[in-house]
Amino acid sequence: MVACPFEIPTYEYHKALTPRVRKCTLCHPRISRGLLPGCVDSCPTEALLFGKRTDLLKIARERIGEKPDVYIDHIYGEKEMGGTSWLYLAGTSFSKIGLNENLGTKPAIEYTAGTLSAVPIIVGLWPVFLTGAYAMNKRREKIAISEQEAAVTASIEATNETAAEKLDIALKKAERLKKKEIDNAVKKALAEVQQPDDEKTE
Amino acid sequence: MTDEPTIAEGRSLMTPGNVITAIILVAGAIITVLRFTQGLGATTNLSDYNPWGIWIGFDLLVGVALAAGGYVTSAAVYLFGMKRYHSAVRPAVLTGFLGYFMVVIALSYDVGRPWRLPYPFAIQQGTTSMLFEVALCVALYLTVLFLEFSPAALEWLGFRSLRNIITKLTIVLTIFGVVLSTLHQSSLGALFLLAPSKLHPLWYSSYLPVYFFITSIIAGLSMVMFEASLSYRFFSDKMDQTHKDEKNGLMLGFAKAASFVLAGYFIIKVFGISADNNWHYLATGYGAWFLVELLGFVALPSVLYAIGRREKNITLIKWTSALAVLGIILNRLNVSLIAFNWHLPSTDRYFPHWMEIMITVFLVTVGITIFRFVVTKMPILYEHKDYRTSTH
Amino acid sequence: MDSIFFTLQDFMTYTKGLTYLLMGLSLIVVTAYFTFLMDRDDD
Repeated sequence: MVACPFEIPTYEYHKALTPRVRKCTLCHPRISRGLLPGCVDSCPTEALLFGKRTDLLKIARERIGEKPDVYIDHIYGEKEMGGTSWLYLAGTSFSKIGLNENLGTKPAIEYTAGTLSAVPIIVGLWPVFLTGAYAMNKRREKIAISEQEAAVTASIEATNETAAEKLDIALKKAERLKKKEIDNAVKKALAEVQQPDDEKTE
Repeated sequence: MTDEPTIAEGRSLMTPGNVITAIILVAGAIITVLRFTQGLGATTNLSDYNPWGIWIGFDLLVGVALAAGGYVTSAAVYLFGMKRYHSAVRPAVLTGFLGYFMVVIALSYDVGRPWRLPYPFAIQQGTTSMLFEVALCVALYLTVLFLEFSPAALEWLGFRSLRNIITKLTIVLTIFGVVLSTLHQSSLGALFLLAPSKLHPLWYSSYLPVYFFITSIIAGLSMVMFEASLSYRFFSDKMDQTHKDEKNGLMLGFAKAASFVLAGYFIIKVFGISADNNWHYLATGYGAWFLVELLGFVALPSVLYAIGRREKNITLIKWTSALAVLGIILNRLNVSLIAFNWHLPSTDRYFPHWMEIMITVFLVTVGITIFRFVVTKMPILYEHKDYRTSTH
Repeated sequence: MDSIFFTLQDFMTYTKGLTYLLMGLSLIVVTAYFTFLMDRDDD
């Protein structure tokens, strides 16, 4: 109902439980019995004709050709919206008798064909892109974590190293101190040993 | 500022808010009975010219757009690695799930024979129809949202092993969610591609599916911010510290994203006018209304979000999110009702019957009531103490 | 703007041309806007 540019389908708004969307079936039961649709059958002036579309188009062209002053040179419905099953001839402009003249020649189904053809592409490619995004973030996260870990171990190593260096220095210092002490002690002892001699010599 | 409503609730059930809720629920129930006994003719202003009213224009189109927060947030957090917004996922998924659930309920009011809703899957496919794709995606996505939401319910009920199985599926479900949302957010716009003669040229464009998809991202982001501010105000006693700590960062980050997406949307809207050479319509009455939408509800929120983000002004961002949400509502109503059937004389145009409005208010109220129930009972705004580490 | 196009070719030449110009403009505007949006980023 929304899509029909001629506003033909109607709805049974009064029915609560079994509403139907309906439109003219051209008296389908009569046609299947070989009869004409009711409206065509009862039309005395042959303003309404029923038949094969190709035949009707031929008749329409003949009528326009015979009376070019009476008819506008256009068969409404031949190309509108891809071509319809109802065809109109008119003596005034079609918009005056309530027919939209700006409908274009595209069948309705073509308007959504592009979008519908994009559906399988999205189903096919979106998971690829999204999984890709997920994988990249996962990887980035992993790298971030391992970099962090590396940084931690590096800093631990660095601390260890400096600690070792410090220890080394401290040890060396201690050694030097000890050496100095020993030296001092030796010097002292030597001095002590020397002293009596000096005293003697005095 | 934060806790007055919750204290009042604790004292007595006869608060003004609860009384109004009760009246709406009773009225809604009565109209529901009328709708399914007297038919659409008695309860709506729908006609052969206007088969889609506010139950489609507002309840369905707006409902689906505003429920987009679920896929936007879960994609941002799980797929694009924005772990710092993790606490926003559960409220967003809950809103998404309830939103879609209410959409399906609203659809049951609107279609003539709701019990035939499963027909497209079993009896008549009609695969060339846009509506088939919409039906398929909505049904599948509702299932995905249900599964995404279910861990919260399972934690509440204490089904540990089932909950753990479903959380293992998080990434797969999120990807499904984004695929299905992309498809049917856009296909809701594509529905209107079929009516080039009925929708005003300024709104009609072959880009309509893209417009609907991009606006759903804006709606999702804005709705998450809007809801976060409301939750912060009304449910702050239910929030854990992580949620409160992450809130401001969430507002700033999402404001940045929403501002930029809005800018992109503004640009493609201009491209749309240019591609169809519709400039001259801008000088008409509909053109003025179009500019109100484009400047007041697209450009303005984009700039306000940007300023809010630069100035770190959370209050401004909060109000801008409300403006952006209003903009989405306006856009959907424009496409489906206001600029639709613009060629018809005003006597044939549609204005909703009061009962249609009442049912809409009723469904929104039911949605909010369920949201309140779930948020108070289940671990939505806080992490369940037994699962604290495993949710990440 | 209200010029009449006689062929689809003319119409598309005009609209595509204008849209390409707008595309170029939009890239510049978007870059500027992005800078505006991000320049106080400190996180």
